[in-house]
Amino acid sequence: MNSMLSDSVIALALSSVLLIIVLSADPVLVLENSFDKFKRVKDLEEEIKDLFRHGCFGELANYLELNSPRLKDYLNEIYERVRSKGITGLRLLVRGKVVYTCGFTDHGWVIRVVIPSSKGIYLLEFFVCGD
Amino acid sequence: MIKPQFSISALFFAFLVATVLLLAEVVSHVTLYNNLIVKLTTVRVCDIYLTNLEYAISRYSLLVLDELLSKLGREGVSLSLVEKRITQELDFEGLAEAVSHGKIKASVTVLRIKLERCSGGRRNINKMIGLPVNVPSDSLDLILDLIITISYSNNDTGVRRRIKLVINHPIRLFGLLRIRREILLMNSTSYAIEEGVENVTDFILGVIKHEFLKRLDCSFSLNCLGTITPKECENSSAILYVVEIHGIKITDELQNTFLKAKEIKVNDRIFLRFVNELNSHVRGLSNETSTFHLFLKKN
Repeated sequence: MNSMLSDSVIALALSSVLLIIVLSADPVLVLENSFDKFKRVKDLEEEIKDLFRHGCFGELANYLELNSPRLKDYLNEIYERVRSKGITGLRLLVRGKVVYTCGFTDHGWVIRVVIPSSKGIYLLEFFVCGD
Repeated sequence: MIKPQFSISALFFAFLVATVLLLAEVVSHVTLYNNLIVKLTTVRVCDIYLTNLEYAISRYSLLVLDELLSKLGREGVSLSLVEKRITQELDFEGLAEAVSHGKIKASVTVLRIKLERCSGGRRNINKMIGLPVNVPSDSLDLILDLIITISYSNNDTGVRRRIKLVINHPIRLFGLLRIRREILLMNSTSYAIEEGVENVTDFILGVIKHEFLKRLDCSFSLNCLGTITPKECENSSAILYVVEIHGIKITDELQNTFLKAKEIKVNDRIFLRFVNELNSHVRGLSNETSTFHLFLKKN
């Protein structure tokens, strides 16, 4: 009887050690991090889709088409609109050449928006903070 | 000698196995939910690219159609020709390549391309591509039936959707084609110079203006050049005035967007005959050919 009790205690102690080892990896934190990232991407997705729906990229394409002087101001407006969603910077490229940059474009991951025009394909890159 | 204090009993072993199994279950569930959340996040990112590709395809197709209409407008537009040429010229591979980067891969499969007459109305997609939301009647709709696939990391996750895009070109092509057809029907028409006409040139120009304006609809304009050549008729005392009209351009004044296709040209020359049976004393034309330029607009 005594031996059974001590075995149980040891088993519980070993289980606790295992539990501590597992919890030290903090699965909840892993889940929380993934969920946070999901929420950030979801917000960003809705914001960018909103930009599409409200014709921001259509208007931007018209400015590009017409070489409008309003282009830079408009890109800044777009940047101001999305920066609260984790966007650190914007970069506009045509044929691999940078046409305009705003914010920070040296880190983060990139969402690329393709804007066709009669002069070629423009790429607007959104730099998102995080990995 | 030290005697081992504990022996591994069945209960101890059972506790241990149960705990390990429980922990394994927890870890596998956490991994499962984590993977699920990561995949959902990836799908959201792919969704952004899908919307982008929809926008890019719409705008690109509109530009290709515009270029084609603008080119054919100078040569001779026919709907079947436009449909054939647009099918040849639309190439979405370049766009799909531009969208693809890093682990994102995009592909477009074309199921059907069709051109249709538009009866007017509102198009929300127009706002997306930078055109007015209201579309005019008699304009041209380009219908694209496509399958778009955006995959992440070698088809591991992604979205695949069949979409139907209706892209409107605001040139009132069907109106322009109707006017062109009616103008071509005017060819070889004869008009009698009425009694009491004092100035033949004014009379001829008045008739031409009236005939053209009758065929033009609201917000269309017409530009043309012409010559009037007097000829004496054989076996009669009547004078024949042959009017040759060329370089006819019909413009859709409602098409005031950045798009280039705004007009179509009538390549055929139109000949009209004005007969002065009475040979009365009329002024305004010598025996030489005279030229004119007309610009007519119906508001």
